[in-house]
Amino acid sequence: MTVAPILKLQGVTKDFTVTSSAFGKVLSSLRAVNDVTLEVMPGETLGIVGESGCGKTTLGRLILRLTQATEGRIEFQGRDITRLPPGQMRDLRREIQIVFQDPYSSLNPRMKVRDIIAEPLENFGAGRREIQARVDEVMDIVKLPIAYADRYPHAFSGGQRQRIGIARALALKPKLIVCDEAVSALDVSVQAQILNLLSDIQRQTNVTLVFISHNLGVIRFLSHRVAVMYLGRIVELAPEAALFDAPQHPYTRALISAIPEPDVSRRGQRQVLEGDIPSPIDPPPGCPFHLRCPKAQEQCRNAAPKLQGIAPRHSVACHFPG
Amino acid sequence: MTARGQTNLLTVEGVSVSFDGLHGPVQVLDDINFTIGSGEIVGIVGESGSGKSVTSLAVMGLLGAQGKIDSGRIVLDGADLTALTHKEMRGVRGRDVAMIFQEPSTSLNPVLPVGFQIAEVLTEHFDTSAAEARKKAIALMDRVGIPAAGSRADDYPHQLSGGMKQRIMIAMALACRSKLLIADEPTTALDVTIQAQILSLISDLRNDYGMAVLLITHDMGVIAEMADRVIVMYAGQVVEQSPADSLFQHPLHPYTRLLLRSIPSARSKQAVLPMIEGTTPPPTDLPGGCRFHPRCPIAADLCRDGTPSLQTVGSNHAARCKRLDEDYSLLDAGLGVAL
Repeated sequence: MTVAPILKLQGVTKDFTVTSSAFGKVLSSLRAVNDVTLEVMPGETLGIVGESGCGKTTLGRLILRLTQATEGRIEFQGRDITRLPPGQMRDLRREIQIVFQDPYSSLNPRMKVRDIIAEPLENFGAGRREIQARVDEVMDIVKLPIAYADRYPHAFSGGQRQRIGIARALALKPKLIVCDEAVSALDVSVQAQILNLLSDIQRQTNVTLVFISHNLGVIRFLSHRVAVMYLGRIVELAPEAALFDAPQHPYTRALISAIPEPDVSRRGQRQVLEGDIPSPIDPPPGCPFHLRCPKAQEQCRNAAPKLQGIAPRHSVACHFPG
Repeated sequence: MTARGQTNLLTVEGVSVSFDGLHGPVQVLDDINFTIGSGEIVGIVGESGSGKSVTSLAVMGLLGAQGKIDSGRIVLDGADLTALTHKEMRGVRGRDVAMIFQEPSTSLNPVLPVGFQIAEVLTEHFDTSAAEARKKAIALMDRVGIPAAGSRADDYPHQLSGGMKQRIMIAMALACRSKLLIADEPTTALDVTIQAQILSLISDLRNDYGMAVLLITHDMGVIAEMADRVIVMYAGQVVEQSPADSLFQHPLHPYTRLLLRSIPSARSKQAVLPMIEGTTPPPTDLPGGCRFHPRCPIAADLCRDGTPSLQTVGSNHAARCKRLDEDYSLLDAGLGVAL
């Protein structure tokens, strides 16, 4: 296979300052993303899953260059974009788009649907006729009737608004779309519509998706490969089937086990992890998961395990995987 | 017809609720009937706009100035709550009926220590001294699984995680030994591993203290894990009601059947998700006939005409559908077309 990855992250780390002195000296900071290395292939969906504070949203923002990495290197289509100056960011914006969680706050209430979708096209200097044609085209892709083009966002339900958000992201024919909890605010019946839509769009346009969610069912449905994050680190990275059917990290196992499924025969079989997720401001030493891990040993308290391959395309950061 | 208790602790009988709208009253609940036995967990499940939260607010007498119970009775332990004054209802809330909500931080006072807030429940409803109440509060915090309860009692809500705050809310519910806990989306804002902890805590309390629970959620998974009996709501009506086993093994209403299948599963990969077209209608614009018919793949002429009633099938499974007697292969075929 000689296809080059479209996106490559190498040792990417992001620190945020929590408190600083009057002179700007950093007094305490938190590591939101810790040494993340991964590759995304063209046309692939990479799912990123984890609980609150695991760094999944920050990772998405790093890929979008909405925030600057503290360490490490991000390559998009073979080009280092880690420290691209603002002047050169414009072209990148055209290639990488985002779909947000909240379809209510991410659409300008005073703009018509047509103008919301047209805005990115206008920003890149498309002509009037071209804009018109592309708006019609993407509205068709997201299955919004063209007759709705002159309405304002308030006239739409949550699911339809999310279609508008997706149409806007598609307008410039990006190579990569980052979806951050894109279906989390929707009801189940509407969520299914949007998930099927995203899956169709990817088949039709071959766009690469980085799909961030806390919902493992949603992640499984859309993703080809999945990265599980805990306290800023990737703890397991594997193709969808391997990750869900044969998880190797104790956290992945616990996470899958904890999901309540609509199946009464599985009642009471959940594995209940004890303790809270530690604060990223004050992470435990050694393996970030050891405080809650049923298999924790002395070694886990002392040294953080590295993400290592244990099978083709399957890596896990655990001293005692399996 | 209760799974655990012999007597009905709560009876909701023919309750209809409306809210003042711009153009007059808008009915949001239509003829809701159900019971909860003591020690029983009854789950109400539905999507946005189904009326599940309004149902719980009606039971607690918290409909506010805009909302009104137009008809029906809500009887708790022999007393008709709809006949109580606001002041009498205040005495019931917190003592006989405890509540926990989705966002525990909005239910807790941010400027008071959490231990004090639990103790306050005891001094408010009983003749407990402040010192005694504090001691009890710490014991309750310990009971709901808060580590180092003695020192955490002096913490303020912002110092606790979401899961810990929900535990504090549950401790308050326990403080009065309430017979009924109304839990409205109690774990929706929590991470999945913390959700598992809170659900297992609620189960323990039911088993240890015989506390009945009215569990309101959008999550069929939470219902399957917790409920003895299930009420499925759609557009202000109960569309299906049954023991949990029967509901998940043989769902009857097309809405329930589709809803269950449209949930993406982490246990198997689906190529395409079955989906329900359209969205829940707003209460101001309800379709005639069966309220689900515009979205139902097997809707026929008779579904557009009269409103279906809740029909009982077998001994205790009921659904609001006119085509119950028919072969459901039609629905499955309809699903095939929808794909």
